[in-house]
Amino acid sequence: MYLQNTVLIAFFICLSLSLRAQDRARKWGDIPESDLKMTVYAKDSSASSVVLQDVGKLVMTLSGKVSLYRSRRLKVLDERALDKGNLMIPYRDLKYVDDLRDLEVQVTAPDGTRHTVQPDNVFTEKISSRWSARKVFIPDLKKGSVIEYRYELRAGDMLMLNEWYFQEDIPVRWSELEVSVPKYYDYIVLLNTDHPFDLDETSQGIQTNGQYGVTNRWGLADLPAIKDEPYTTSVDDYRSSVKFQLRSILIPDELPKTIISNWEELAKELNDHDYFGIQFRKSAKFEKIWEAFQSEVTPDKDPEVMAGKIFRFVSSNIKWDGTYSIFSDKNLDDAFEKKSGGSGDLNLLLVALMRKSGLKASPLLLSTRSNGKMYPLYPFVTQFNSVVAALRTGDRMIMYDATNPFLPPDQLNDAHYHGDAWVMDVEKPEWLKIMAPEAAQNWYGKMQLSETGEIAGTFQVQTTNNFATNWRTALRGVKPVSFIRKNFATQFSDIQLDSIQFTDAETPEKPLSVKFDCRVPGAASVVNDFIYCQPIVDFVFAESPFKSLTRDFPVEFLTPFRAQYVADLVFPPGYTLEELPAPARVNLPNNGGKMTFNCSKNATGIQVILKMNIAKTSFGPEEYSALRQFYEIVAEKTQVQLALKKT
Amino acid sequence: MRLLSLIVLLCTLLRQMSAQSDYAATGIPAEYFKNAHTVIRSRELTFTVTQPDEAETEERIVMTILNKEGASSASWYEYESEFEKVKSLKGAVYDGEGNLVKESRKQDIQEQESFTDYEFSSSRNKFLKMEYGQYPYTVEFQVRKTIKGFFRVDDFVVQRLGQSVLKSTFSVVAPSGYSFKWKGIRSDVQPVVQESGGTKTTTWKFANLPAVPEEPYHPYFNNEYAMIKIAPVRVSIDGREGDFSDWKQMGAFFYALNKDRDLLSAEMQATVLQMVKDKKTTREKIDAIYRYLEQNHRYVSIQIGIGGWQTLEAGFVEKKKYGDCKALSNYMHAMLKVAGIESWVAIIYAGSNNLPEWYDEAPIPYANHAILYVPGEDLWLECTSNTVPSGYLGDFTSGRKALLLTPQDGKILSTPTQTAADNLKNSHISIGLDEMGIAEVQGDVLYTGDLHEPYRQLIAHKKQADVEKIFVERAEFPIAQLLALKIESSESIPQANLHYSVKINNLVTKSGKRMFVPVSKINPFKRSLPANDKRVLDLKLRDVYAWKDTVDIELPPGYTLENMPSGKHIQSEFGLFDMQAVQQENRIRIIRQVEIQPVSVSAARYNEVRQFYQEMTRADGAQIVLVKT
Repeated sequence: MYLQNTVLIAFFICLSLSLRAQDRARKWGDIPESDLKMTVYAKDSSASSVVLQDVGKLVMTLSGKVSLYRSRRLKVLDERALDKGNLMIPYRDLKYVDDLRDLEVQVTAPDGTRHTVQPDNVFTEKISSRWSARKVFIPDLKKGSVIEYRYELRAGDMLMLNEWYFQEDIPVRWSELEVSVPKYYDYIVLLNTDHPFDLDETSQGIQTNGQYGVTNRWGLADLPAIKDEPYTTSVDDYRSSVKFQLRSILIPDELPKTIISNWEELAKELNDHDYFGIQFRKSAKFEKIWEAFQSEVTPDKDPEVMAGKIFRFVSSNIKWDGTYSIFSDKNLDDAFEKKSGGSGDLNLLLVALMRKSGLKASPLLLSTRSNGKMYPLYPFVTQFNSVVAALRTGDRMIMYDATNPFLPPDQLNDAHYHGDAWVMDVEKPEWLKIMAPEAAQNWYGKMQLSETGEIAGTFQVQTTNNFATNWRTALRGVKPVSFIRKNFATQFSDIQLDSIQFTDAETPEKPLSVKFDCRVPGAASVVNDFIYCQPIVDFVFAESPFKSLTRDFPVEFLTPFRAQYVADLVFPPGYTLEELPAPARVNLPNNGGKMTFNCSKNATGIQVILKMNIAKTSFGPEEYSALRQFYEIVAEKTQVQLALKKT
Repeated sequence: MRLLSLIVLLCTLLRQMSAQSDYAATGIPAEYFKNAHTVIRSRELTFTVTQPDEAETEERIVMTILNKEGASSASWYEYESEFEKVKSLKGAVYDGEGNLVKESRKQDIQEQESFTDYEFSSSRNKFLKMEYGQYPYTVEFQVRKTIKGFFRVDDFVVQRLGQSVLKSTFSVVAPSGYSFKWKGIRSDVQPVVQESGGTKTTTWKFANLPAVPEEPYHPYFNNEYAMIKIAPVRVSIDGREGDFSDWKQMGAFFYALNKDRDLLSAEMQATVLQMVKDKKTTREKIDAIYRYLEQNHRYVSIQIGIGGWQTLEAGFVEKKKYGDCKALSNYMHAMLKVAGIESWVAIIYAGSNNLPEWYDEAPIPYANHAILYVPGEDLWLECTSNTVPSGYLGDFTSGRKALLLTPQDGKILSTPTQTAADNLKNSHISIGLDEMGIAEVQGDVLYTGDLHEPYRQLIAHKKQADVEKIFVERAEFPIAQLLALKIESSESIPQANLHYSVKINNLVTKSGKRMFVPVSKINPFKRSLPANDKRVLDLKLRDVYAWKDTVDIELPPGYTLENMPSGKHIQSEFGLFDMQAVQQENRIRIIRQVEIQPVSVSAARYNEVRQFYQEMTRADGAQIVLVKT
């Protein structure tokens, strides 16, 4: 069970006493009989393979070279895992010239016979100009075998080799990382795990390579397999890991060399970065778009109105190319000329034009949902992979994201909601919590039921925020009738639509609504003297997406949302309702959301109201069963049926 | 001074005019916008045979991208290997008015990076993306490639679906003695042949082709509509000469290329003989060897040199216990040979979607897979699987032509075509309901053919705990509790059995004293085609299967039947739907039959098929209404 992940920060400089020293890792080739004979992994009987041990030693030399000595041992429990005999070790090939050397692979059968994998099974594939991979195809691999392999990976750059994942998609019995750094290097370390370390020790002294330094060791035992689940951000957010980053170099008699020390320093550095601050601070980088902007747009004194104009100008003139970056690595004008750019180009351009117009705007850096979470205690730019713009006006801050022309102000591209964001403001850098504004979808229907089981009537459907953005994006270039067919009452494939009228389709600041007439032959079933009719023809979902009985990670919704379906149904003459469906009301624990269902009779028929909302975006595994049940109840209500009888 | 500025003005005007005619979207006549995502403004592709085994291609294309559906055409993809090299790739993009926005630089060429652990390959994919943010815009690409050794020339795709063509030229330049066959597909353009100085140039010219709309479920491979296929008659690769004038000769060439690579060690020969020692029939022998292949080998693809067409030696696979489709087929062939059973490797195009057609007039080895054929038993063997029974092909390789490489010559033979009887689902489902409407459901289902494959794969790759988790996640109904689950697949035939027992809270809808029981919620039938009153393309659907389901619904205590579906029977050449409901005391039995036949009809009959599916789907939504007494 995963609770809130804890983030710990440790510094090499401050020494902690060793907590529990434990040597769980065995030497190369020293495989206990019990492992050779193992047929089922006791801690997870569903596993077809298990990492028996994975040991990394990261050694940095005084000259700044880094080597990772890695030694892994896997057990192939049954034939399902024979593909574990295909090894792939990727390494970078371009600038940093990683070097993979001394690769050795050996396989031990359950009876103890051992063979070394010969070089003719080892291939070096040039994947691209940036990446290569060593590939090993272990010959004659049989179930029950233990695979061992080890290698040294040398990085040409001390900033590389900066993370270790203890947990994998198969169970790991023991994973350990040792990091040895010369005394003069000051490293910052970030531990991300909710499993307490089984090995956590620090020592200082002469290291194996003869230099004086600090050695840290972390080890975790018995880690379960970690697998992706729907409705999560990134599975890496939940994998036990350690990351480290060089902070400063303090060689005696030399000036201390600070890589990065705090957010203020980082803000200053970014402010002078060619592909970042310089882009929005130097007018020459965006003079063409500024000229075009001035000739097309009349300035406004109100900062919010002005920012809105800039936002529209950029997002409607330049198309997002689908990539995320915090930088604009050509001039901003290049993106304008190509009418296309990444999130860095588009949103730094917003900052540039806003500042040039005298507004107080800053870049807001963040990490997209699939890119791993952010660490406010960890002042490194590498954790970010995208940027949006923030306007300060009075005591308000309004966010702008030009990656989609259908986004209103203060609403970002879905991928940008990952909990945190950092305001890159040289005077006042700060961290913010960001959450998508509540999205809503409302239905107002007036329907007439006929004796033949046909439903005919008018509907008005309104969407806001994220729902509206999705609709507007999908609506572009599509015929209204095809759009409604795809997005309304999809279970009726023979629905007939007429008089479709969209309101504010091109005004992202406003809700999007559509009104139309519809006719569904055979919507209700007519049997003998009865008509059975389902009055809820459309909703945010008809079936619960939460099918799994249990859950390992939190459910992460993109946005809080609200849905409300109100419909009047007029009965055919001569028919009366047999009974009124009972009202229902359910609340999720911790104010997570609620649903209500209500039917009331009126002179000509019935009014049905179904409402639900999800008020927060994260539901922990312990809340899962309540959430699952809640969705089931809502799904059931969408299927409610009325029985009408001929009188 | 004045004259000079006039000249400057004239030049500017001229440049603008020429720019407009070439690149501005306004230069496209209106009729070419209809149904189009892209418009080829002009294209010239020249394929030059420089040596018997060497060629160069040179291409220049100017294409206007009209909408987001066409945007993928703004990227140009090239494949590079030991045999094919891209000499130059340049691109440019122009806005809607025809103004040059950007010309590509060398560093704009990107690479596709794929990290897979089951293959080694020396080929690379490069691409150049020239997208612009506002439609319409125009891209231009210029590509030069050299090819060393080739069996086939890429089809010249004149027109893709959703593409208009204003002007397009395809030339094959070759020494006068060089001969090739060709065939125009959905094009009757005849080439102009010119000969001079020992060189023969064959040129096809195309002009003014309005777009054919891109509609779903059409019969065309890879959205390619009109094309010219080129089949060289003499080929040469890696110092080997071949005659490809017909399938026979082509087969003989590939046979020779792979000949004598089927030798096993004496030890292995003994093992094979041991395997078949007690087996009486040929089929039993094949099954024993096939089982050995499946259980002890894995698929690993190592592509070096002409490894794309030449198998690794059987001795290699024997030692390593892995190989790709050719190597594993050849190895199986080698083992069968030891057992005295003749077999031939067959090359084939594998895939579940539309296939490239093979034409006798222009024989081209358009293939991506190899399987094995045992003539004595009329049996096909897929040799890359670790799980399927011998003789099973599935929709990946069934119902299409294969080129058999026999010691005599090449032979074309079609793999068996699937019928509804091959792909069955027979189920018996019992539903017990309590007064709250909570259902306890037991199902026994037999699957065969394509329908059984997911179950076979599931248990082959996952153990029970994971199988249960996946079953719950994939079920069409929300499971509240999984009481039992057993999935088994047969060793000898393509069949799987599923048994489950589950609790479902939401199977029925309760409303006051009534309970609504949808009869097919456990195994719904849903099939639909999008509405289209102006369908242009022929309709092609490959699915073929038959379901027979019996559902017994036990009434909850205190409830009686208010209504149940009356019988329904729909039948046409496209399939069958039949549902009957019978009340037997406290139980209602629903018997439903569904049969789906492959469809290959003209556009005029699109709506007929659509309505047929609609009617079936609607009939399947029938429900039982129970009322509390």
